[in-house]
Amino acid sequence: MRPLTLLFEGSFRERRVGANLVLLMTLLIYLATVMASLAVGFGGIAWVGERTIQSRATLVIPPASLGSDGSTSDTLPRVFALLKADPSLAPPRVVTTDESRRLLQAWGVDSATLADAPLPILMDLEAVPGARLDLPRLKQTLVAAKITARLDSLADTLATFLPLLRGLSIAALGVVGLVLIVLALGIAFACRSVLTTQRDTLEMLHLMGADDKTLTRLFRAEIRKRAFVAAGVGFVLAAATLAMGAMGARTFLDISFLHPTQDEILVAAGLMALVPVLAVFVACAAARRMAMGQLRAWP
Amino acid sequence: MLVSLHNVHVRSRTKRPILAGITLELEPGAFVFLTGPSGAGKSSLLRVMGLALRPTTGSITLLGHDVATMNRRSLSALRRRLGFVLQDSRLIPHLTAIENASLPLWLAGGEPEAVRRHVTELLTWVGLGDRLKARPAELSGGEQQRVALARAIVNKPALLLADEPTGNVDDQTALKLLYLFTELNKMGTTVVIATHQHHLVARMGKTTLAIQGGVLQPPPEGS
Repeated sequence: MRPLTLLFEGSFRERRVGANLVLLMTLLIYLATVMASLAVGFGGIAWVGERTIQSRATLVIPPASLGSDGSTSDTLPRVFALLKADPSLAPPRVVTTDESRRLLQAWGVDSATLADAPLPILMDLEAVPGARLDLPRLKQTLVAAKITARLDSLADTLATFLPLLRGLSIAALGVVGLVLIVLALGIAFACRSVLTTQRDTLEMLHLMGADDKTLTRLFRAEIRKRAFVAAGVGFVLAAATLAMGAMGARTFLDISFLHPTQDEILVAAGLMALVPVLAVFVACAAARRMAMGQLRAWP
Repeated sequence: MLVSLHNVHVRSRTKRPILAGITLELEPGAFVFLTGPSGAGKSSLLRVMGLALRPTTGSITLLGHDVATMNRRSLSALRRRLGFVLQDSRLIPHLTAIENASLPLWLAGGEPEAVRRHVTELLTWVGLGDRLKARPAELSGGEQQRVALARAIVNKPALLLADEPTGNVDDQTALKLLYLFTELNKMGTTVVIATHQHHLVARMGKTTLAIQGGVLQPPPEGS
């Protein structure tokens, strides 16, 4: 015997209710996945930023303080010596000229200007694990050593930016919640409509001894089948959309010095993949709840 | 007693009495016609006996079980020991005759090959051996009712309840159907048929209970 798929047959099939339900679920799952990715993305960047800004800074040595021929004269060795003497700092990294050019290009400076312009020396400073970057003290040390340099704190740059990211992340998460509620309501209304339209058939099954659980399982099976299709299609569409947006995100992360680790990216992708699974669960639970609630009213 | 109803009352939501003080006992192997005009309460009484309608007051004992003390799961299990045939056969349109008749066994988790064999035999017995793959739309009214009858008895029910099973067919087909009910009764199934077709009832020569205004009428004197 073929599987009993009687809930979306007859007039439901004629009106393509089942197919439209898949379409609705696909759109909602797509939206939920994209919004969840934005929530994780914004939240993750804010978290990475929070973690990074406490321990990172950039030391900028202007071209004017270097030798007249553009050489680094003795400034760089002195700066290195000073920084190495600080136990709270990891060995500093000098940003290469090529890197500096790429960075400036990302900010919109054209390459012709970059070729002629004297570039400052940039050094990435990072506190050793467990230590905190004490920028005022570092500034004093540089001044005392008569070294002309500027310390750019990432914390100052991102101070206003991170709360905005956190807010956007919460808002996106709220939208995910709303989309899931709409999904549950949509499924509940569809099941209610099936219960009303197919009442004669369901009542006959009830008379044959089908218990609430068996009848509910029919609803859940029909919804699950469609929800899985919708979850697959919705996720693929969302992944494609996000892949297109990833290029922009990469540039943004580069210019804001926020680089999530490979593990953090994997966790974010995992969370994103959880959304369609959660949507299938919500759809099945809504179908079960609506069917069970209605059937309990029967003798 | 196979069925025992004591002082059963059923009221509608608007408190209108549908059944009033029904007391009835049926022994195993009985064959009873329930007659009365439309709206007399025949279907409601049948539905009460078939656990499809909860009485407002009164007690029901069915196959030795006090229904009032049973939970929903046990009631479903008890329903599997009953057979129900309705005036509109309520076959599922997209399923074939054999699939429709197999439904109760499918719901009970029967082994597919055994189910197919058993249902094929049963449909052959009701005269539809050559219509196994036909869908309801391809069957006549009488054939549809025979599929519904096969579906009702596929679980070998102790009690078979039929609500106007001959209401939508001509007299000749109706008699053939009633003959099948009689055969089942001879095999030990208790049968209760609600009908308003008095001429058919008269030809069968079985016990008849009359109901009017939700009240069972006393049998006429000398019957």
